[in-house]
Amino acid sequence: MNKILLIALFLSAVLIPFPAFADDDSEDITKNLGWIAIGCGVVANLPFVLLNKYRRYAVSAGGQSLQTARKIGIVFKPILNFHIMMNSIGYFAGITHGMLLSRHLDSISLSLVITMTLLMGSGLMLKYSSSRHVKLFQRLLHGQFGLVILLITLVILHVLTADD
Amino acid sequence: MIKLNQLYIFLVSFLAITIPVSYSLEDLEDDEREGFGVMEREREREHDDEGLSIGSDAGNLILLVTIGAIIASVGFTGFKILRTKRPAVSKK
Repeated sequence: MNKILLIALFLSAVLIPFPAFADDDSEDITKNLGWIAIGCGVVANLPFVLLNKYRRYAVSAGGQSLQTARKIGIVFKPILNFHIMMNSIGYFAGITHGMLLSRHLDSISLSLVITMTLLMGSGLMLKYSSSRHVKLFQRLLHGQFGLVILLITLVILHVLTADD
Repeated sequence: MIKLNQLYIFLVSFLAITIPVSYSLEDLEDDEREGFGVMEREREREHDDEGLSIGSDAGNLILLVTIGAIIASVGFTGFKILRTKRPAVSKK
């Protein structure tokens, strides 16, 4: 009980907001916030992508790996929920950040908003749509390698040009 | 034992709160020491923003690449679905 209390207190203490602003004139704070956001994105997406890739590989390979994939399948739902939760928080935090700093809007930020909205929209439709055809289209679109590379490039460019 | 745990909880939560706040305040103090006026900062920022602002050549190129990549992705996805469905239709 004490351990749970300790962990809960520690987490709540760490997550308490402290003054750090993306429009601060200190370049370090601005860039560090960007790298923290990228780190959160990696934590939100990498486990889910790796699990998905392994499941696909296991289905095609069969045998022992298929049994391992079935065991891993138990954690698929929690990892999917974590992926959705983290990306939703990131999306809405990003949009709020964009609205608050809209006077500094540049082409990279605008491109980032368009790409993020497209991926978020396709993710939402994938989750909530009941049509099989829409689901198939959104599944393919949501996992498009080109869009993922575009998003990563834009996020990195946005962080690197944050002090400009 | 219970008292020690309570003390430990208090110390950990105190450190977790104070360390990040002190770091961020330190940065703010450094910034204030620079003695750079708000208007000067704003002017410098406006001058720097011109390179990637919407309407500039580089800015337009980035926007065009993004929109092009999105259209290509959506088109490729549609093409992929159509290509996989066509053989099933022709078998009938």
